[in-house]
Amino acid sequence: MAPPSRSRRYVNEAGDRIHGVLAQYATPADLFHACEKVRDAGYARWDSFSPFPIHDMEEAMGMKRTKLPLAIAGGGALGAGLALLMQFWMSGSDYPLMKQGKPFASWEPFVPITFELGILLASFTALFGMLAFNALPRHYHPLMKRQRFLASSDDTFFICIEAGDPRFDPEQTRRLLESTHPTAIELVEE
Amino acid sequence: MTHMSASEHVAPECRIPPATGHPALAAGNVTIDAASARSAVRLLLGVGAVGVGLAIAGGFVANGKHALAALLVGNMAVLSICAVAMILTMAFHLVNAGWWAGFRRQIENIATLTPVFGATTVAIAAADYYVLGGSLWGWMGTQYAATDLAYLLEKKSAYLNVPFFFGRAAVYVVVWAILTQVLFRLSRKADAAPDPSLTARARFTSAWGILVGALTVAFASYDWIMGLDFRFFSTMFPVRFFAAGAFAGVAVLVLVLVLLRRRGRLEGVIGAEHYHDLGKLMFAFTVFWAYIAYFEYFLYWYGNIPEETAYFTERATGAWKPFFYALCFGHFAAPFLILIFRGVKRNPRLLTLVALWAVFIHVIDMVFLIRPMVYAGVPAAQNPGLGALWIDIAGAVGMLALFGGLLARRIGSGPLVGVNDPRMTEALEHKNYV
Amino acid sequence: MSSIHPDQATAERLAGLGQVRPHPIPAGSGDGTLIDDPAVRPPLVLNNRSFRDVTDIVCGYVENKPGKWWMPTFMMTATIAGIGGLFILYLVITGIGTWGLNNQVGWAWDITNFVFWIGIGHAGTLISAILCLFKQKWRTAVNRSAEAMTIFAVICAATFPGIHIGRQWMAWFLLPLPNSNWIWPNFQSPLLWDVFAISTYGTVSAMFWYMGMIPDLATLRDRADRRLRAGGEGPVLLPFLPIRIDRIRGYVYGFLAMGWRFSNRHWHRYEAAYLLLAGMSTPLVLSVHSIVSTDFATSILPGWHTTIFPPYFVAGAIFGGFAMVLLLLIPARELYPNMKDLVTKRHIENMAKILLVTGSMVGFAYAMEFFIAWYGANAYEQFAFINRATGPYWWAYWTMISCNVLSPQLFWMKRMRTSAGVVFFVSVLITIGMWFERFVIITTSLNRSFLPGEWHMFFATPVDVMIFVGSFGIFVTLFLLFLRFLPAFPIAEIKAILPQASPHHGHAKGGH
Repeated sequence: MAPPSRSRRYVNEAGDRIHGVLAQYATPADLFHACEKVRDAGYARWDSFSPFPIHDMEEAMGMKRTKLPLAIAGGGALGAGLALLMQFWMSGSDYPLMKQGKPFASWEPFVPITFELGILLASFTALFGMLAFNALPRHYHPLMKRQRFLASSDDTFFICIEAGDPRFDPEQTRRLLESTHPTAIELVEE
Repeated sequence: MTHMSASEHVAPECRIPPATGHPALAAGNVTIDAASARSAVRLLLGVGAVGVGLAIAGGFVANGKHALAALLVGNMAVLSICAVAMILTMAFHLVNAGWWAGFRRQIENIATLTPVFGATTVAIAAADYYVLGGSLWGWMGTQYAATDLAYLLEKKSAYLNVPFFFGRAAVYVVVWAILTQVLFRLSRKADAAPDPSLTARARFTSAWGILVGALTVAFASYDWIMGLDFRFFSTMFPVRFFAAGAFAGVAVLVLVLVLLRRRGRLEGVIGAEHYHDLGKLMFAFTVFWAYIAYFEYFLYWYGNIPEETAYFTERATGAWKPFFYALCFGHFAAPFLILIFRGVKRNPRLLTLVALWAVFIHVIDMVFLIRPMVYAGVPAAQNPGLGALWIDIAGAVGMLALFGGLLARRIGSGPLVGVNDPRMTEALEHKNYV
Repeated sequence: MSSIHPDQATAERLAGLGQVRPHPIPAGSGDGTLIDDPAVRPPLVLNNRSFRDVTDIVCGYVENKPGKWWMPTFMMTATIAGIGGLFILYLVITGIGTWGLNNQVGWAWDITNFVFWIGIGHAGTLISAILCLFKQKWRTAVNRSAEAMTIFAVICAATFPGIHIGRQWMAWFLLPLPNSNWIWPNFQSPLLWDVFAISTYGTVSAMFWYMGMIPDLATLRDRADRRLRAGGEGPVLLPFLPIRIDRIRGYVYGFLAMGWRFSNRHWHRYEAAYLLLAGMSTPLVLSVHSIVSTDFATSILPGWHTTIFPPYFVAGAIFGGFAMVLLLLIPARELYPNMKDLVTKRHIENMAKILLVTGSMVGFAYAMEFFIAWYGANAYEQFAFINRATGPYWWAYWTMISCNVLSPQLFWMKRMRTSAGVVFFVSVLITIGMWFERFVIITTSLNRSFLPGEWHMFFATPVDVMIFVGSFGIFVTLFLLFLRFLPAFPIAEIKAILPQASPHHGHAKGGH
C-alpha cells in the first residue's frame, strides 16, 4: 500500500491545499513512456488515467498484481459451503422428508444449488470487491473539478503525482513531468 | 479461399507482419534431427512391444478377455487423446487462431496417430471375435443366445452385427486417415515456402472435416466402449468420451512442448504465456469433464430405471466404488484446485506434474469405463482381483509407450514448428494481459 | 439527426453525412472486412475512427434524438406489452384453466415460453463471456446488446414459471423458507434448483452487464458535465419544467458510474474482476440451462429422459441466442447512423458461422436421441420419437427440423452468410424453430403418455397466445429503452481494440 498522505505540506497562493500535479498527454504511447519515467523516479502516490485499459500498463507503472482473485475464490468457497450446509441441514437433519424413495441426504441432488450459490457469492465478491479495492463509490475527487480532466473519458490521457508522495516537490515533480512531453501541466488543489 | 489477390489493398495495420528472420525461428531452434530422437523412439517402442507382448501372454496364461480389456484400456486412452488433437486442430483452424502457430505442428503430430490407434482397436476387436469368439464385445459371441438377453440382442442386431461393426470401423479409420493426412500435408507443404492459401485450404478442410470427424468419433465411442455392454445406452456417451480425452490431450501436448524445451528447442517460441493458456484449456476441460460425467451419472441415478442404473450400480456401489470416488477427486477436484492458480499454469515444472497426473487419471477413467465388463456376471471366485493386475499394467503401459514411441518418431521426422505460418508473429508475441 | 457536437464538420461526419476517412476496401471484401487471407486481420471498426469518434458515435445514440421510427415502434411494442400484461392479470384473477391445459398436458406454452426465453437469455451472457475468455476482439460489437438482451429475456422467462404456479400469491413457497407445517422445500426437485439457478443467473448477468457499463456511464456523466460547465442553452426536460436534461444525466449517470475516474490502478483491478466474472459466468450459463433441462431429463417420461439433454439444451440456447442478437442488431445497424462502422459485415458473418455450428450440434443431438431411442430398445421411448415425427404434432416436429437443422446449412455458402438480409431471414426461422423445439419436447411427450386412455391433444387458447405475444412486447420495449438510454456498445473496450490504442503503436517504423 502507498504511504499515508502528507499533502498538508503544500498550499497554493490562495492558501488551498495542493492535491498534486496533473500532466496531460495526447496518445497512449506518450502516457506509457511517461509512466515508465515516473515509476523509475521512485514515486509511489501517483496514478495515470486513460479512457480504456492499456496493455502492459501494470509494468509501466510498477503495479503489484491485485489480490482480488483470492477474495473472489474465498467468496465462492463460502457460498458453496453455506449451500451444502443449508441443504444437508434442512433436508437431512431438521425435517427429513421421504420423497421419490431417495436418501434424505445424498450429495448428488445437492450439487446444482451448491454450484449456483458458490458462483453467486463469488460474483458478488468480484463486483463489490473491485469497487471496494478501488475505494469506490466515491462522490467527490479533486481531479473531477478540473474541466480538462473530464476529457479522460474521451480521448485524453493524464498522469497525476500527488502531493502526499514523500518524494513530491512542486518544482522537481513539475520538471520531471515536463520532460515527458505532456501537452499541458497544471497544479490541482484539493 | 477467394479474394486472395485482393488482399494487396489491405491497410498496413491489418496485415500480420511476417515473422521471417525472427531469431526464435532459427533452424537449430525449430528442428530436431531424427538421430537424436532415435534412442527415445527405440526405448519407447521397446517398452511398448514388451508391454503389449506381456499383456498378450497374460491372455494365454490367465484370461484372454482380461488381456484384451487391458489392451483396450490403453488403446482407448491413446485414441481419445489423438482424436481430440484431430478435432482441436480443425477447431483452431476454423476460429483463425493466431496464438497456436508455435505449437500447431505438435498438435498435428499427435493427430496423425488417430488412424493408427483406430486400426489397433480394430485389431483388438478382431482378436476378440476371431480368437475368443466374441467375449469382450459380448454381443459378438454366442453366450447370450440362451438367456433372456437374446431378445435384446435380436432387437439391436441391425446395428450390432459383425460385418456392420467392422465396416463402420473401417470407415472411421479411413476418414481419420484422410482428414489428418490432408491437414498434415498442407502444413508440411508450407514449410518449403510461405503460402497463406495453404492455411486457407486447411481452414476449408476443417469446416467439413470437423463435422465428419465429430460424427465418426462419436460412433467410434459407441461401438468401442459403450457397445462392450450392449445393454447400456446413453446419448451423452460421445461427449463424455471427448471430454475425457480433451483433458489428457492438452496434457500430452504440454508434455511434448516441455520435453522439446528441455532439449533446448522452441526457445522463444513456447513460453510462460503459451503454457498459461494451455493450462487454462486443461482447467476448462477438467471442469467440462466433471460437468458431463456428473450429469450422465446423475440423470440415470435420478431416473432410477433398472436397465440404465445397472451400469452405474456396478461402478458406483460395487467393487469399482473406489474408482468412482478416485475420479471425482482425481479427475476433477484436485486438478481444479491446483490449476486455478495462475502460478501453476505459468510454471512449466508444475504444469508438467499436473499433465502427467492428467494422463494417469485418464487411463484410470478408461479402466472405469472398460474393465468392469471383464468379470461382470462372473462368480467372484473366478475373479483374480489384484492377482492379474500385471496384465492391466502391461497393457496400459505398453499402449502408452507405443504411442510415445510413434509420436517421438513423428516429431523427429520434420521441423518442430510450421515456421511459415502466416500468423506466427501473433504466436511469438502472444501475451495474457490480465 | 440533430447533433450536439459543437463542430459542424464533425457532427456531419458522425451523422454519416459528411466526409469520413475511408479505409482501403479490397475488391470483393464487402465493406472491407470480408477478407479470407489468413495473414490479414480485417479492421474491427471501419473508417479509421478516432477515440473521440467512438465516444461521439456511441454516446450520440443516447444524447441525440432517435430517428423518427423510435417513438411509433416504442408505442406499438409497449401497447403489446400492456395487452400481454392485461391477459396476465386476467389469468391471475381467473386461474390457469384459461390456458388450453388439460389433465394430461399440464405443461404447454407456459413452460415452452419459459425455456424459449431462458434459452435466449442464456445466450447473451455466454456470448459475451465466452468470447471474452477466448480473447475474441470482435465481441465488442455485440457484447453489450447481447448482455442487455439476456436481462430482458430473463425477465420474460421468469414471468412464466411465476404465473404458471396457479396461486401466484403463494410464490414465496419457492424460497428456502419453511411452510406452515415447518417443512422445508424439496431440495431434490429440479424445480427448486431452477429457482436458485435462474435467480443466481439473473443476478450475475445483471452484475456482469452493469460492471461492463460503469466506465461508459462515467463517459456519459462527464460529457453531460462538460456541456453544463460550458454553460449556454441546452434541451430542457419539459417547457414548464426547465431542468436541463444534462443535469438529470449528470445525476443519474453520475450515480450509476460510482465515481469512476478512469484510473489505471482501477483499470487493473477492474480487468481482473471482469475476466474472472466472465470465467464464472461461462460455467454458470452451462449449469443453469443444464438445470433447466433436468426439469425434463430427471423424469422418466419417454422423450424427456435422456442424458444428452444438458449440453444439447446449452447448444440450443447459444443457437437461439445468436439468432436473437442478429434479429436485434441487423435492423439497428440500418436505423442508427454509423452503426455499420461498429458492427461490420464480418461480425455478421462470424455470427452466421456460429449459427451453422450450433445448428449442426442441435441436429446432432436430434439424431442421437433418435438413434439411442432405437438402440435402447425401449418400446415406449421408441414410440415417443416415432410419434414426434409422424404423430399428431408431426408438423411441429418438421418445422423444428427444417428451421433449426436445415435452414442454417445455407451458411455453408459465403454469399449467404455475408448477406445481412439472408442472415436476418434465417434468424427469424431459427427463432421460430427454437420455440417449436421446446414445444415439441414438452407437448409431444405429454400428450401421448404411457396409457392410450390418457391421450389428450393440446389446443392453445387466446390467453396462451396473447401472453406469449405480450412477452415479445415486453422484450422489445425493454430493448428499445436500452438503446435509448444506455451505452449500446462498450465504448472503452472498442477504444482498446483500435490500432492506435497500443502503447507501442507507431514505433514499428520510427524505432524505439
